[in-house]
Amino acid sequence: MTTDSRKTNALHDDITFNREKLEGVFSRCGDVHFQQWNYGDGFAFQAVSVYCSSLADYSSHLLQRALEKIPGYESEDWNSMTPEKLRRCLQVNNASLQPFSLLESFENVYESVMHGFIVILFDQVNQALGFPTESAARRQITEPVNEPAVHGPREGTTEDLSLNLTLLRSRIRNPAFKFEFLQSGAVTKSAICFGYLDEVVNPDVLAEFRRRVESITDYEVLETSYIDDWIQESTLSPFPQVRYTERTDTAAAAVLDGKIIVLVENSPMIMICPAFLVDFMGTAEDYYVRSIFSSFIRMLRLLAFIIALTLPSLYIALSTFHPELIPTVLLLAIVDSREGIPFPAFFEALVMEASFELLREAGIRLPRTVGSAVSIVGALVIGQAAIMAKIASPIMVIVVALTGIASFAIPHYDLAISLRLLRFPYMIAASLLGGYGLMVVFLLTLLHLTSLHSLGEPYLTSIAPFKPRDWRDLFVRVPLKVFLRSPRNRKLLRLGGRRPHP
Amino acid sequence: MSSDRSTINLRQLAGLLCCYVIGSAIVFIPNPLTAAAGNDAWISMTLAYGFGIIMLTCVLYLHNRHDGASVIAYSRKLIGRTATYPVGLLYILMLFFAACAVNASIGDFFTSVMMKRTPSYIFHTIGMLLSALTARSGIRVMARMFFLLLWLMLFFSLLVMILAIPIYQPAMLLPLFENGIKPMLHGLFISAGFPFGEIVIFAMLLPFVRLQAGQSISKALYASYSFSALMLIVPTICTIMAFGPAAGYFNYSLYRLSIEIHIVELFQRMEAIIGIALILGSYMKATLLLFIIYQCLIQLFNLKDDHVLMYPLSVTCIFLSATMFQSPADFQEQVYTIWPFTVIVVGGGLILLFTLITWIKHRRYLQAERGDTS
Repeated sequence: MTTDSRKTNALHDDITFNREKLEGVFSRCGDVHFQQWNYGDGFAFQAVSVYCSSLADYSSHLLQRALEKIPGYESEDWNSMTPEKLRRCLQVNNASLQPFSLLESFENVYESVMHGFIVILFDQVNQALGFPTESAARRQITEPVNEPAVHGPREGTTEDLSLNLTLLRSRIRNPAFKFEFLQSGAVTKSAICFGYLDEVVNPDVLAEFRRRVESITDYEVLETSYIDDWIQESTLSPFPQVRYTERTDTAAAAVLDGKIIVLVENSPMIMICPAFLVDFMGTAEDYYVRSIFSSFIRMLRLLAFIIALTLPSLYIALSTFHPELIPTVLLLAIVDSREGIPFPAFFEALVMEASFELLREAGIRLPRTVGSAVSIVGALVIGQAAIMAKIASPIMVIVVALTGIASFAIPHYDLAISLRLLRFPYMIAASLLGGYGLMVVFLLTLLHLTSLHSLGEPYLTSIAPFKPRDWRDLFVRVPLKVFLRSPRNRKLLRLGGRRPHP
Repeated sequence: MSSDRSTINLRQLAGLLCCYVIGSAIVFIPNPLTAAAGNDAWISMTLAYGFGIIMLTCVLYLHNRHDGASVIAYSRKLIGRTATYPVGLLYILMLFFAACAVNASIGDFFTSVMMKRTPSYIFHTIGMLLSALTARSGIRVMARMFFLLLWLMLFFSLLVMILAIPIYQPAMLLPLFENGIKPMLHGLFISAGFPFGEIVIFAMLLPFVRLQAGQSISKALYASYSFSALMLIVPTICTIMAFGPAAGYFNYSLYRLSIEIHIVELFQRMEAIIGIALILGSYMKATLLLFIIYQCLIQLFNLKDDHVLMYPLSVTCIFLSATMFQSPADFQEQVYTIWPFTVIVVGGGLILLFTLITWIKHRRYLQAERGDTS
């Protein structure tokens, strides 16, 4: 920007000129109001306040009280105030004018008004006062709907960035916990904030993250997931490469783990990166319940993972290609239940899975009041009626239902989605080549997972590359007594200035 | 995070060695060995392991003496550039045979045991494509992935061997040397070639390792090689104990063993597990061999390492595995008679030759140095 253009952008001495220019910019913005008032001896001088009524709280008396302070420094009052005196007041008391800010250019004025400031322009003064009164209505802090917990804290994030930061900061009150801000987009100018624990975060990962996220600042970011899509390594991979949470305790634990968290204004989702496959197997609550129980739950989730991914395909492979592998009595039961069904197992499974997916999608999008109708219709159609009509066998219904339940038991929705997607190639492979096909798809999946990276770190970290030390918090959770003495926490102790006990 | 994605650490190298040696052999080797050596199979195997250790020692000596250069690189140094071409080509031809034999064996297994109506070229093609995709992802991805699969494979194989305990009859192990020493020597010949002698081919992978301070490559490789040998001797003993003199007639011994398992109503029909172990083993070995062919080719002809060659190579392997073996009997002859001979004479001979030249050169160098100082 050249000096000339800055000059034309600067506020003018003439209040009518300033007002006209502002009114031009804010024309047809029905919620921006201009209010004129006079001051000084015989109300000789003009002042104009501008504010956006949908963002600013104009009813507050704070403004009045604060305005009284300005002339107070010079033991004057508004009746004897002249622009000359006012200008001197502003110059002398520049620093002590908090919470006012002094605005010098039109740009500043637009931005302040749009951030809920009340801006006051004075006659013959080329500066304006901005007074923050933002009071946009926001959602209250509630329990996160998607991540409920029996034990542990219940507060969830809201759409208010500063409130979210307050919640996080109150959990980690340490100067090593950094928040860096970026502004994205030319129009929305929404704030992106990323936080990390200095010296605990891997500097290579942080540098890589910075490099990638800085390129998004030219574009409009409306939700945290925009950043996810922008920085991820493999866009076409079905697997989620970052993790989301609405729980501040999960986010704080991730920060202590050396992860980077990302928040975006107007979104309650906290993005945690880099995320590894094993991260999607845990929840915050795992650390709040007894270790033996949480180990059991972890095992259950592993089972759910395997079932959700392979059960329908396994059924297809066994029933069409390898009936000799099924124990005889069970085989007879299956043959019995499949009698009279016109479709091969693959087609049967495909129909049932597809209708299950349809039901699930319909259930999410429908208004809550009609939602229960879907489940009734679903239970009748894909359950009872399909069996009666000999379209599907009861065993198939059990298989599909079990698969559905297993995918609900996976704590992270993103991972459950990827399993839903992968189930179909698995089923196709099983129907073409049976167990061998299943094995081939499994190896392909594993190959993809091993080659996948999240912010430069291998996605299967602690499984492949194999890190036995991490296994204390993978499929079992060792007692906290052991877990908290791990090398990771020794690092934290050093950071906090304490010497770890041997 | 390391920017260099083409290196592996010592643990991963040791894991790869295990995958390479155990690979498909854990399912395949007990049968031809017991057919040749009868009850003495495990003795021939132990002796073959001794032969493998000698080869491994040579390979490690060459690796250390030449500062971690590859076989092609030190062959150039030792016998000259021109002579390296035929040697390298010989190596590559051997590798082609090995990769295709491993790949074909899995097709044979499936078409003869589990899926009799599926044509074998389907298994050849899919298996090879899978290997090509994996080999293309680079050695680090392979090392990570195989480390995981190795445990899976060993777990499944051990599970079957443990569950089969009720059918073992230790008395079957006797008598030893029933027909004199000759059958034992025949067994030694087979197993010294496949799988123990094949370590001379694995030497191509040694240059990829990056050691950390205080690590000894020899110790780790001897340990993992011995572990692999143990994992091959144990199933051989298991099959002899289970089937006795009949062990030589049952193809895919571990598979047969798993069929026999019947513990209450819970543990039965365990064949699928061995099928999985076999697929994993063959897949890993075929991938490693394909990767080694590729490395040999680009090093021998100084090509750019951009993985373009991987697909033509794998297509060649697909065609070879479909055409190389006329029948299972042909496969038996080629893999258990010709291949061990090639490995021992050509592979082992070359490595011994290199070792000898290096040793002599080193001695001369030392003598010259001593001469200088005195």
